[in-house]
Amino acid sequence: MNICPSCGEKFQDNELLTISSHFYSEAQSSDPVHVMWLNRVISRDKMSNESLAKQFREFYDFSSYGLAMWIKKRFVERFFSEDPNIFVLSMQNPTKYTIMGYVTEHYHFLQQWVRSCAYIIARTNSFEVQKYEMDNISEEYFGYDGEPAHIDLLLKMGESVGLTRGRVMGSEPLTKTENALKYWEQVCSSEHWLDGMVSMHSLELIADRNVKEYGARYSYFRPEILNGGITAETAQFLRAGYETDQYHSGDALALVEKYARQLDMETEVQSYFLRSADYFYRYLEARYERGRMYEKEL
Amino acid sequence: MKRNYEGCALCDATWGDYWREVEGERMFFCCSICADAFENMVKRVKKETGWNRVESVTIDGNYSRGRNCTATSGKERIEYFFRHEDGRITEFEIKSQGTSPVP
Repeated sequence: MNICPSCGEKFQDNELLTISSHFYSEAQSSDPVHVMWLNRVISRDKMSNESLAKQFREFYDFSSYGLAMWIKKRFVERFFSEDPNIFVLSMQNPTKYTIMGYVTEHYHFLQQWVRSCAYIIARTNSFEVQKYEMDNISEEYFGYDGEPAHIDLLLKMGESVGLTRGRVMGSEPLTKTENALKYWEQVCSSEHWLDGMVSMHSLELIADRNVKEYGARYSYFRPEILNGGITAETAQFLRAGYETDQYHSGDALALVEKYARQLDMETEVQSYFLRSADYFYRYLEARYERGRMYEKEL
Repeated sequence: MKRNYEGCALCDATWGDYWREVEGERMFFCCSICADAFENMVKRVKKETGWNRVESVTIDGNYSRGRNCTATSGKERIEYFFRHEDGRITEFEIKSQGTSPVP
């Protein structure tokens, strides 16, 4: 089985030619969703069906470095290239409005995060996956080894720039965030647990401090800002993510690679990763847009 | 209308086969969203400047980051930034406006 990484249509076979032909046909009829995906991920230049099939084969090929590294490299291309996501750009020199937008949208993300991990726990029989997910959830809501909970650090970061907990917790997510949350809810509750796992834990690469080793031009933020220019609470939150997400995503992607091989789901897992990255891209835009809303309002 | 892109008038992609008349000219776009965004951008420029006609548009940027643009009409010129969502203009900021120099 496989899915279109853009629209999610399911295909019974696992052939990349099926996906590339689907894209070619949709692009021929100027379907915005598929054309935009091709523009952003494959190429802005139109090509023949045969050439597109070759491009897809090359794009999905992980034979020289393994599935986990393929995910890392593709994530970096999408979020940290010369043309990065707008939220990544704004995090290079974050204002208090950037942080406000971050806190508000991410609060909703974290609630979905623990739900998604809980679905994975409920739907797998793998002891190591269940244990990994339980550790992860626990860290988000209770903290690890005496450290504060991730969600508490987030809310404190908001308070440090003038955003009350009540305002954050009483907010509604922006549409892009809401759409992304619905997608992750659907994948984790209804699709194979491994598709859910790659959909969620690949996203932790956003705060991986090693992204430059995978070809990133930017990192999530400039490490220098931890030493000045932001509130102590913001530095504490960013530092916590910086120090944990690298092993979070690394450990999870190692599990994904192992089980994808065992279950013969590698291509399917690749497509689920790509589709999740698409939703995450728009969710990060929502963080930026929420920040702009605060800037205009305050 | 003079433009800096040979492909889609908004994003320069060559996928798709969508055509729409804008300012009396039949233009190529990769999809209907790009056509909506371009058309709405031109309308906004005319509204902000009071011009009857936009003679050239130069665009630099993308959907996520937004686009920095220069438009001209006769000796008039405007530099602006805009972002769109599904073709609707969500941010529009004039950077400069005047009569010279025209590129």
